[in-house]
Amino acid sequence: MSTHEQRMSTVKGKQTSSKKKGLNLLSALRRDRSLYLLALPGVLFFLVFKYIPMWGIIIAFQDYSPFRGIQGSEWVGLQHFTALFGNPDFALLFRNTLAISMLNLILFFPFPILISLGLNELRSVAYKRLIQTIIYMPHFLSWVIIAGLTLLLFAKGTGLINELFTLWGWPRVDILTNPDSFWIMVTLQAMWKEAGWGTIVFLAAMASVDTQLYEAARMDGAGRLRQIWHITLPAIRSVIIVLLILRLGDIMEVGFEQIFLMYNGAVSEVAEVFDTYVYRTGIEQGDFSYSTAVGLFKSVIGLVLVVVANRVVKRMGQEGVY
Amino acid sequence: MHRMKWSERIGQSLNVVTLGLLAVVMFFPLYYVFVVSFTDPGEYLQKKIVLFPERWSVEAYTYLLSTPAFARSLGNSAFLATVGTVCSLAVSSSLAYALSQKRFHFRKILMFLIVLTILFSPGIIPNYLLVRELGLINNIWALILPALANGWTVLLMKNFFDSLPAEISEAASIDGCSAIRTWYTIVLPLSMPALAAFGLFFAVGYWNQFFAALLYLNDSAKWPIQVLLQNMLLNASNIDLVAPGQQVETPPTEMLKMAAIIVAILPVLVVYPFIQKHFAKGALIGSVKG
Amino acid sequence: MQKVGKRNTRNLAWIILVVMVMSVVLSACGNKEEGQVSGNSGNADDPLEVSIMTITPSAVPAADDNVIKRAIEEATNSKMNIQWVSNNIYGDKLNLTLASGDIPDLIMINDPFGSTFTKMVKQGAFWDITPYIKDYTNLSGGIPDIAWDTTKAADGNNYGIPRPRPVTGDSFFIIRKDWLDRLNLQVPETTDELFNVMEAFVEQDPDGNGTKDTTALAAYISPDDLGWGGNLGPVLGAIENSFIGTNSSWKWDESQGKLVYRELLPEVKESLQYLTKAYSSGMMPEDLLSLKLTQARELFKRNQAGIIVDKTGTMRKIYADDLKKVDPSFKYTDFYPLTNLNGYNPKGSGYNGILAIPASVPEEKMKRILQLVDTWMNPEVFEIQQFGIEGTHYEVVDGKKVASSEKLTADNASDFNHIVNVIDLPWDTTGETDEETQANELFKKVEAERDKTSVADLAAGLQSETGQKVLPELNKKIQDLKAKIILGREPIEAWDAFVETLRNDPNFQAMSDEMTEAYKKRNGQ
Repeated sequence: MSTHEQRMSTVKGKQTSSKKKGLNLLSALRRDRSLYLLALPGVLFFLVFKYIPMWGIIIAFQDYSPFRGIQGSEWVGLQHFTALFGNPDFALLFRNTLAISMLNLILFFPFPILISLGLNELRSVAYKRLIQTIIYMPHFLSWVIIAGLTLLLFAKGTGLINELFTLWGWPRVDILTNPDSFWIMVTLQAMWKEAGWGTIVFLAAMASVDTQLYEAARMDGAGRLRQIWHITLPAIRSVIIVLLILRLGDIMEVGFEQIFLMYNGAVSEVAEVFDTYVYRTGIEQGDFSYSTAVGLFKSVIGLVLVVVANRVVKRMGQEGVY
Repeated sequence: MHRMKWSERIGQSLNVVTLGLLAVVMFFPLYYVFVVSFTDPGEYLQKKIVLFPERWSVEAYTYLLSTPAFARSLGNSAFLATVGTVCSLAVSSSLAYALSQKRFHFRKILMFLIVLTILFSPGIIPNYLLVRELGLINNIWALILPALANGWTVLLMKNFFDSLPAEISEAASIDGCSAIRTWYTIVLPLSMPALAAFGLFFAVGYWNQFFAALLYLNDSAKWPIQVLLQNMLLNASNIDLVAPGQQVETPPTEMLKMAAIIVAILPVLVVYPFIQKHFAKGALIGSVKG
Repeated sequence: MQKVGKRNTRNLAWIILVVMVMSVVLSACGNKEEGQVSGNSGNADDPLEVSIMTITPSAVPAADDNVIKRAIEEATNSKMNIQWVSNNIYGDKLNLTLASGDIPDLIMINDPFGSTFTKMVKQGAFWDITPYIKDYTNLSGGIPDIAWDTTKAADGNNYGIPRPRPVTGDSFFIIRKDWLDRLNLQVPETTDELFNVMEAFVEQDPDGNGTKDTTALAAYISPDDLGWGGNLGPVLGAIENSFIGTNSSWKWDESQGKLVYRELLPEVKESLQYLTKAYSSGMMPEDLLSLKLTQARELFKRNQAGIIVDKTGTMRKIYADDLKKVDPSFKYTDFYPLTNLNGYNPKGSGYNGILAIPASVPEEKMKRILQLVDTWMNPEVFEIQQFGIEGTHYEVVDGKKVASSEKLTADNASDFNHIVNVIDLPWDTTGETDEETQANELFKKVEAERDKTSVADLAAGLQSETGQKVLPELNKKIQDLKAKIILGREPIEAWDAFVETLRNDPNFQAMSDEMTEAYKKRNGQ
């Protein structure tokens, strides 16, 4: 066909398809009704328990009073947002939140992946199970405990590690009230707590890989590293992508409880993030509107990043999150 | 068995040692918690750190287990964890599977909407009002229904279903199986690693529920275990409530706190080995071919 | 089979759909209901059905058929539906309850000056009970005036019954008498003397174990402690209070005829310099900023710190029994409370929370609820939760009621104090051991002494609109800056600079003016 004819038939094809589209859709729905029925409980759940309450975000634009309810509360438009952006500390909060989040992305995110790869390579099943069980444990400790343990170990005055250092003739370190080490410390804490638990998803993905693929690759002369690169990693690639994009959506979330517990006056410039600020200034007590506004701001930023990241990923030929 | 190359041997050893070190670093604090929970309070106060208690004491555990409320809360949590997990897995995996099928017309838009639910959250008041409107206040289902599923799980599960060969679903539909039947009889059994992983996440989530229980359950008889434990630990922290001459109730010792932690995480540690076998390599050998 | 299954699934789907639609409709209707019918029939002699919400510090709250509860119900002709809420979540639960519109008939408000409650009071959500109080003898006479006064709302009215609390017995310095004795020191009465004592505690091995391993103050600064005590927490705050002579955030300046914000006072600078020196001399833990209350207390219990700030009621259960395990020579009477420091000791606010009645409750019922509380305050009723039921909880020995504290605790007797509390009962000093009795007598004596010179917070209950906006952030900054100064990371000049910026801040001036206005108004000037 000549190009002209090609183009014509495509146009025609488009015209016809839009007429038939309605009919096609209905018959497709009827044909696949079992599929849609299958999805129904989940969809209903999201509708009822996620989307209906979302209407409540509107209080970010109100001066919400629990007594008057959403209907009766005064509308204030963007007042809370101007207050937020106009706050002289806004840049500081933003910077701290971003710094901790980026460190988290760079250091924390790859860590469970590396561990899972390592676990996957273990030859002894018993050893693998033992390690797995142990590295899950920190996940179950609350941040209160972990903060207490961090203090016990690393306090400058009485911490065990510092006592050891003194014993060995080394100088003592201050990581708890030192602004320069705060971000790293917080990241390492999170890694310690959650990395093990984070391997579960990857291990499950790796478990679905046919072991014969490894056999075949080895017989083709591939070493372990190449096997990992060509077999294991692709198996978990889509999981990594989804997790990464979702993580970007959470870019402004930095674990309030952990930061609050480790916060003290000496590190205030680097430790104050949006959530701790809202909490400590007591604004949250009763001023739901302001904290909702802050939450909305964080979500919007996350959304932008997710949309951009998803588009980039798709352009690279991978499946995105949606 | 094949013979390893020399470089492989180094790689293996390095791997073993690194993982071992990691495990030690992660294990120590839990070991410490465990040990303190069995240490006599007097000894605990005298020493700075107890590596191995000289005087053992199960005081903390007997205290925790002494209230009938304890057994009741355990029962509540057990109910939550089992029923909740089954419901959650059902709702999440059904939606996830449907989303993984290309012929599902609204796939993309639904997935986007689900992503939005991960990003945007309105806070406790709207959720509380909804639960109230549904008449679920003080009902244990208030802890299950709102937690049935979440975007993160659904999207990841869908990912797992994506990796199943398309031939399976096609073959099933050619055989006249409806999507529901395919999901139930074929896809689910093939997805045990994923179900084990997410089942574990759900179960732990339900077991650890604290804040939601405090908000929605007014009747203390309905409290799950975490709420009871927290309450037992915090009962003497507010001294403002004490009149002069009225002495304060026994406050929690470190021992008690640690024991509460151990009790809280014990079931998970016990159940876990049964789940572990699903994470073994090649757990699906043969099932796909069949 | 399959068809039936499908139909069931479809039915279920429809049901869920209907529920969903209904809930959309219902939520769209918004906050329609306050005042559910807490039904009382017309007959005034029927038991008063009343729903109550309050805090409980108990691990396991009282059940509905609790014996003590039943006895109180009988004595007050009521039927109570009590919702016990864990103390640590009360703030959140309160907000939700207020938001949901299902407010119990009698609700304990732990902070009557919190922004939610004050807002709701302004919007008319609660009964103004001021005109009714005089009709009830116990309410007007049995609850001290100071409690009524300090819980007045901004408009000068009372929107709830205060839960009275003795004004003595507030947290203050407690010092290891045995350490003092061992080092031949007198009980300090000024901050200077305290400094010398602290120095001795650090340098002269007060615990007699041969090593210099002790510090003086079991101090800590926690980001939780904002808005009081100079934002320095209980221990260091008490020191700063002793410099200023009040624990209030405001001081009345006669020469200027206005209230002055505490942080502007030169005494705060003095206190900061004092504390900086104390820190660098090891008189408080090096990890001051990282410790929390539990760890600070532990220092005292481990025989490592000799001074804390707390209430004497904590002596046995929180400190002494544990301390005895570490230092067997410690006696209860060594837990020595200071009477004054610089002639100052803090007077309590006189209340702990208030009981409010929502405006949705009809007037008749509201009056009956006031009557309920009033009757409850009568000794024969109040003693039910003090002593329990004869035979079960207490025996009469020599004409005195002797109660078993174990049995009382088992039946959650003291929980009911969080609804109604009466305070002018004589304090029984008998302890379980002679040693404890001696200690209790000591405490009683000290309290009587303290009463003579204690200083109340004259700004308690006063509010300023600008203050509510500006103070939270300000408090945070103050704590952060003071922490750095005490640690020696910022020079004292930084404080001077900060105070300057405060003076020139128009918001700050507005706040001071508003507070002065409120103060004058309340004092009828």
